[in-house]
Amino acid sequence: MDARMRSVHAALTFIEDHLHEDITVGDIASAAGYSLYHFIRTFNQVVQHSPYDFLMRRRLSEAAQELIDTDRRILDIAVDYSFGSHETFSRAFKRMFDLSPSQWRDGFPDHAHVLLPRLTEEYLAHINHTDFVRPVLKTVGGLPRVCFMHRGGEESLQLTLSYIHHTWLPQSEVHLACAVEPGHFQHNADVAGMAAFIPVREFICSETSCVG
Amino acid sequence: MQTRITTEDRLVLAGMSFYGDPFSTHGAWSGENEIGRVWTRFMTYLEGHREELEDILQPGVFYEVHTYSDETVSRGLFEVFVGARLTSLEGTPTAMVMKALPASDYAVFTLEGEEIASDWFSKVEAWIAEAGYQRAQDFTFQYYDERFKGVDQMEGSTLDVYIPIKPAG
Repeated sequence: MDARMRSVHAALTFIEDHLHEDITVGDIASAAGYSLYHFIRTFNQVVQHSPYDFLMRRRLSEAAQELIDTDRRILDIAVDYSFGSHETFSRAFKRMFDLSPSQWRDGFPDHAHVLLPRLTEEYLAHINHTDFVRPVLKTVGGLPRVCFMHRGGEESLQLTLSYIHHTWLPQSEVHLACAVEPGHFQHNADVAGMAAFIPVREFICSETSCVG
Repeated sequence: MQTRITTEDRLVLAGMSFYGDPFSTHGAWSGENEIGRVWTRFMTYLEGHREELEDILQPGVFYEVHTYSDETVSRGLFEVFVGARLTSLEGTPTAMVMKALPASDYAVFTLEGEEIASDWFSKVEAWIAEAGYQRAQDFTFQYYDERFKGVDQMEGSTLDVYIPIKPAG
């Protein structure tokens, strides 16, 4: 692991150890051993989230899991994850999951794949590898689709899917017609790996039409 | 990294700005960051209005000002302003915003080549403290002239970083 990755890893460890505390991006930069300016730049490059966005998404993901796993009051969970009030928590929750905390608790546990997990060294190495390819918007058969690519073995496909679900989709503001799943990826010589061509929402997607 | 102390008069700039985390990839289809986008927006405007701006802006010298707030440490948000020195207030286009930097003493750090992309800010802060100074204002600026060849030619480039300072204590 090079110095840059070591610093980001130190930052991620600090975040995980302080999800319940009122920390600042400046505190995280200090843990990484960088100036604030250089840290923000480096963290964005490596993690593909801004430090503050990542901190909030990790807190909300852990809180969302607790909503499913426990009967604790929403306010207690909100305060436990350093959200000052029920309103602040609900607003942030809705922004990330498009559901209120009570809607999430009552009926959407199948959305668990959108929770941002603790990031591993393996994941960071995967999305920072020179072979890693970002999704691109393409017109296929006259219809706009997002082309998701994966280079590497099938064993690392889950890492690419994690990037798609937790980072690319929330940032792209593209609404797909269906969830991206391992079965959508097929070997494709044009991208020297595997590819999935997923239509955007306004086009009806069947199980087969999502496969390029 | 060469260092010197200087005093500058009030500096009035005209340009364009961004507030937020300029390196955030949110909403972007490309890896281009917001600092680059502000530069592109500003330089494109200059190019398109060359004749009307040549009498009011100093040519060939550009400033990138970073202004910090309470949200800088807490959330990583700050303002990035890119502009040029105003030589006249007459005819300033409404597409630009103005920024007035107060007269101040500055520590000036000259960055060369790979230093520009390094964590120079840590070294700068350490130097200021060791020299018996502290930051005097909530902004810093970078000074770009003909010595800076471009982000794709960093190796042969030089730029100056200005940090407002005052005696510590």
